[in-house]
Amino acid sequence: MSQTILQLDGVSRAFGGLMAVGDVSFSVQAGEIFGLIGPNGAGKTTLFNLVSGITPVSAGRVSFLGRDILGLAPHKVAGMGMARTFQNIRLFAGMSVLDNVRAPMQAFSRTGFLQDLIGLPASRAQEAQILASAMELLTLVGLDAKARAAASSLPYGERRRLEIARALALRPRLLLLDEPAAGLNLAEKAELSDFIRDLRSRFDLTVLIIEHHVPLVMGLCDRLAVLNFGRLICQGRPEEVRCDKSVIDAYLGDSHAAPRT
Amino acid sequence: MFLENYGFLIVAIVQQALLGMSLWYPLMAGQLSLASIGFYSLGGYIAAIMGTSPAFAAWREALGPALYPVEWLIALAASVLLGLAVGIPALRLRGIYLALATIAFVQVLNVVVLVLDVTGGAVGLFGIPQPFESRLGYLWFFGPLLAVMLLFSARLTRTVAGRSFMAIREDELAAQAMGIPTTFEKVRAFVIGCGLAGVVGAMSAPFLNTWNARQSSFDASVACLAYVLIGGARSVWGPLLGAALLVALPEVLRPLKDARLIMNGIVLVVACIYLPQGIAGLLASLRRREAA
Repeated sequence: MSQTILQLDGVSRAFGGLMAVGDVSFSVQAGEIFGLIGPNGAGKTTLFNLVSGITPVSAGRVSFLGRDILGLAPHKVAGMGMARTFQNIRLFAGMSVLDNVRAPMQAFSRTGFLQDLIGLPASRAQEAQILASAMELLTLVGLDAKARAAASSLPYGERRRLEIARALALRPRLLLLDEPAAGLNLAEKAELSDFIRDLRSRFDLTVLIIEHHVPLVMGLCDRLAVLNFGRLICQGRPEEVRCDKSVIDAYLGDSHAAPRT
Repeated sequence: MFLENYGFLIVAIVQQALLGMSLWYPLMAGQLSLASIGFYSLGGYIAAIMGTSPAFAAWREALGPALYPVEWLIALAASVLLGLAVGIPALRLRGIYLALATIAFVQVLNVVVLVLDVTGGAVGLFGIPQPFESRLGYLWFFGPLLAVMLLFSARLTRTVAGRSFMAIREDELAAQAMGIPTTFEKVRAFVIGCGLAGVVGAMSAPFLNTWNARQSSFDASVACLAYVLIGGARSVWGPLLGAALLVALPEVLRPLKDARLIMNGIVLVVACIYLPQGIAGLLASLRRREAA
């Protein structure tokens, strides 16, 4: 019944002799909130970079919306409807909050360069529309009052929210969130779960999320995949994963399962 | 009296400001290019050849003063085409490598110009017909172009393409991840600069009366960049402010004789340390302080 949005088949990536991601396969279904967890250095962010086309894979296959996306430039993958945030927040710091959200909307521009420069009616109508949808997204993340401020002037939590709004500006089918709760306080973390669920229903999204904060992941995700040393050690519903022996070993450490670091 | 004495200076400021602007566009997309002076040289040669070569005698006869706009358009077209040819491979490089590649491009162009007959070799071309009696008259060439380009820059920051440029400047990887075709936009920003530099060159050939390979020296490349950096790379007015200061300074400091060259250097160093956003950035922060 449900449609496969993202499919990974035997995806690997080596950096020199280090196998950062090895032979990972899983699929994400439409409408799911799919969690990717694992200890530090397990290869989660590398996997995000492979999926979004920023890092080329060494082996394997990634398909998005039924189309093979290996070798596709990152902007093309993004244009197909895959948006992401970054673990260490990468906003367009010198631009205004509003322009951060407006910039990705170039993907939907129907007017030409010269037309925009002269400011013909079609361009002006489009600008008005871009402004309206950007303000709508900023209102959603509670930043509408700061639209004209520089993105670099925002406090940490608001930067995280702005980055999510910027990703939503691409009108994605799949949203990749790289540790959205990192650095947030407890109250903010609690809000985040509801916020992500709300986004899913509002925008008909599928969400792939990397997160360290275990209570958040357990409460939020429909399914989880656990990575350790670049390998997928377990996947399933949160309650299944929680009790899995290999996951407990990976997190708590087990001398014969893996070398200590 | 003042205007007669300083006519050359005023026009030179506007002309240099336009060259600074031609580097401002790639910088808006985060690309440090030093290629402008090469396109300036190309445009100048096109105008010089069309103005002096016997092969174009019939054109000069038929077009009269309309020859000048025709020169500009041809220089524009040639610069855009060459800009695409240089920009598409060069913009795969980042940061300092792009700067080096564009310096190399200018050097290659200079060598080509020296060995060709049509460019007059090392001697260059001279006796280029002049449309105006006085130096100040050239303000009719450069003035409207400056006005148009200032308007262009101001509009650009409010367009879809301008936002893509700035996004690339701020974070190229994030821009890519947000669906912005970074290579395409970088080439677009670069080619806008090339086209402008070519037109400025075509206007400058009559203004300077002669044209040779010294027009595209490395010093001139760096001077153009200095206008933008000192004036402010993030403001539409930056190149004009920077050119006004740096072109006028040696004239104002003439009584200091050779020591004025030291002043030039001091201004550059002081500006880099204390004015990271250039003069335009300083003015903006002063205005903010007043408002607060």
